[in-house]
Amino acid sequence: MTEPKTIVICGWNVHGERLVDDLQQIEPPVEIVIVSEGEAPSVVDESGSVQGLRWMNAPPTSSAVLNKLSLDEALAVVVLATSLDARAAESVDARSILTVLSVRALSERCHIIVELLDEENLSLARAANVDEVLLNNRYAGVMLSQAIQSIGLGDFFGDLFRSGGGAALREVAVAQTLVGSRFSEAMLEAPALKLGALVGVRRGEDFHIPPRENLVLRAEDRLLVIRSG
Amino acid sequence: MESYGLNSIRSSVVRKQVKPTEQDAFSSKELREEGGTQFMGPGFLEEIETSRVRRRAYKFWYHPYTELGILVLVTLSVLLLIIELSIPSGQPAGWLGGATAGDWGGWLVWTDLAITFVFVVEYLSKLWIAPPGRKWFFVRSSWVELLAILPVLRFLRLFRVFRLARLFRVLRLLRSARMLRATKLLANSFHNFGSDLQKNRTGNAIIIVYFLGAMLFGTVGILTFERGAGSGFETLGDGMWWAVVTLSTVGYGDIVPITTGGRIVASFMVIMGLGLWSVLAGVLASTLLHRLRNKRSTGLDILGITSHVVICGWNDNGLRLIRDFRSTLPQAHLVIVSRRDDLGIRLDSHLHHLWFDPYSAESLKAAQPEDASALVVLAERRGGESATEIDARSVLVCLALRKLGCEARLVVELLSEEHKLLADNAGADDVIVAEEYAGTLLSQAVQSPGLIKAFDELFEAGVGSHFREVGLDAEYQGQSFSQVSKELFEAQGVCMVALRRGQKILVSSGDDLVVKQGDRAIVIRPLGVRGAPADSSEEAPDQREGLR
Repeated sequence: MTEPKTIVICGWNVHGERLVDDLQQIEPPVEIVIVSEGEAPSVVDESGSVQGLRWMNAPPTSSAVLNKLSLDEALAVVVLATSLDARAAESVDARSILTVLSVRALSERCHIIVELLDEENLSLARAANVDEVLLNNRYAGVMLSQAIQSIGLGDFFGDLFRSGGGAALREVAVAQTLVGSRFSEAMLEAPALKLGALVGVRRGEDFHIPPRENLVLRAEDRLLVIRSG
Repeated sequence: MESYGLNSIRSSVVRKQVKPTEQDAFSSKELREEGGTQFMGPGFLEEIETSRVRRRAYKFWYHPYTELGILVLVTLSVLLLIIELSIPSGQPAGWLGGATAGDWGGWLVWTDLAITFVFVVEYLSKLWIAPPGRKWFFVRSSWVELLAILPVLRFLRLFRVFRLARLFRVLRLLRSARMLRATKLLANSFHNFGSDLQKNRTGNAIIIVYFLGAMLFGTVGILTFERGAGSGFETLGDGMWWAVVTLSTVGYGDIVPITTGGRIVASFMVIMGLGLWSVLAGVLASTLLHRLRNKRSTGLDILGITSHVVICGWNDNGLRLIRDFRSTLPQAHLVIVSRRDDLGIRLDSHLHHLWFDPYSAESLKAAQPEDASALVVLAERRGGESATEIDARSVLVCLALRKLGCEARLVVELLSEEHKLLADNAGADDVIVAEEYAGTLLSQAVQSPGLIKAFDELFEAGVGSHFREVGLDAEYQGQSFSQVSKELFEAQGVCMVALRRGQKILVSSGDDLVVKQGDRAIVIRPLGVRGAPADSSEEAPDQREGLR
């Protein structure tokens, strides 16, 4: 099987600029294909393409267009909300979910991430068999609450969520040497393994951030770490 | 379309080099608030623009001060009616110069004629202003105004109709309901007392006017038909007494109408009485329920509270903010300052809503920000504004709060990271630019599938985990980051994420950091975990650094 090397972005909004900027830093380089209608995204030039980046002026719900993209081999498909206007959330989310359905109809394998505006449409997105959902502006309230209660967190959150910022949350596999160790013991080994700061464990679909008890790590577990981005 | 029309009027005033006066601005504002142009029909504003005379006539007749004057004339007209009725029919009165109430020579008649003339001029003017063939004649109170000038028929002495003209004069009182918008002149000076009081004042006034109108209708109506018929209705007092008894649905039966006209009036009075009490009961119950459900603070009930959190402006993030904040500090008072009605959250004894404009320093004072433990400025959207405009408002609020001498911790939500420096310069302690994080989150999700769920766990309001910045005891100095992490996790169940050293945030990149004096730890702590704090600043929420 060929190594997936394409990332497809369906739809476009201002968040796409940061997304593309981050994706272009990935090693090895990936090809990014943007499928959207209307105005050319700001990240492409007049020719509609830059190195590693291609724009297709077409509706992202079109099967004919999506068929050309070899979705089975794509690293991921990101469906962006076509507008960030909360007043039009229903129609925008409907269009996004339709895009998810179109993509899923063509590929059972590909990893689909969709951006929604309204939390109430979450169940519909799940019903459309999406893999991950990002709710627009979901975290701001909690960030504000925590920033009120503790000095300096605003800067930290900025680092955590900014590409190339001082911090990034990552998921890594449990090294063989750590299997069977307790979580606190793995913390001591983290520098040697170049892991960063251990903050949690993912066991199946459950996240323990941080674990409420000193878990014994298993081979199938995933470690959640924060390290410099 | 309305705003376009209003702007055109305003700009046309400027073009004519007429300085927009308070009068003009107030008229436009009133028109907009009352929907004053709606009843004129579509296209009205564009039509009135074409004629300068009509424009000026419109502004004159619909100006609140003019309407206040009309209200005075309406009241005077009704008073004259009461005076006329107080004189027994056909009896000359000395103070009328020996004339009867209905004599042409009496000043009573001439005064009433003059007032009616003003109303006729007003009605005809408004008819001329209104676009031809439009709905103005059929909507709102224009038909009431027409009925109110019908008493002019008495001067034509048309058959016996002029007796009924007295009844129509009472209808002038109905116009006072429309004139209530003139009371906004007074209400504007009281706007700081909150919208509930303002709205209730208008509603209460309508009920009072209805009651007085019904009373006068009954009094005049019954006397019109029953006086001289031998039923016992002779004086004004008889009429008023009967009207009160009937309207209150008591109905003593000491005097009853015997003529057909009188009984018709009585029938209307019974229905009006039943309606009045039903409406009154409903309004009272509704007001009580509304106030219980959405108890807006007037600022009086938060007098004396301290260490509260003031939230200036409102958006959906406020809901999660409050939910998350209350999960750790449920007893803290939260005061929301916003003109929005639909907060989407139930108020209670610790959650207050000041219905004030958060962008006014005077209004902010009502929230007592100088005694607050923390201040939050949310990016409040009002429709159609750019991110720069919204952020500019937020930055201004920060400036206003600092200008008021508030030293509490100030956290502001911005829409664009470009304005972060401005917020810092305006005195913000922390800035959250959440909307810009989506792109990075999506990128991270592409590279590490499932990571969004991790963020969901971290930032789920009220559950999950909380980030904290805490001080480190001296015993940790000189130890490695990994060693301190292990000890903190085993002792307190928290995970150390990064170190803050001065203004810098240090995150492990693989090399083990060494803890130095003055370093502070950023940790993740699951909600509900108990354990010895790393230092005294973790002990009690109100003693936590940054909160007074």
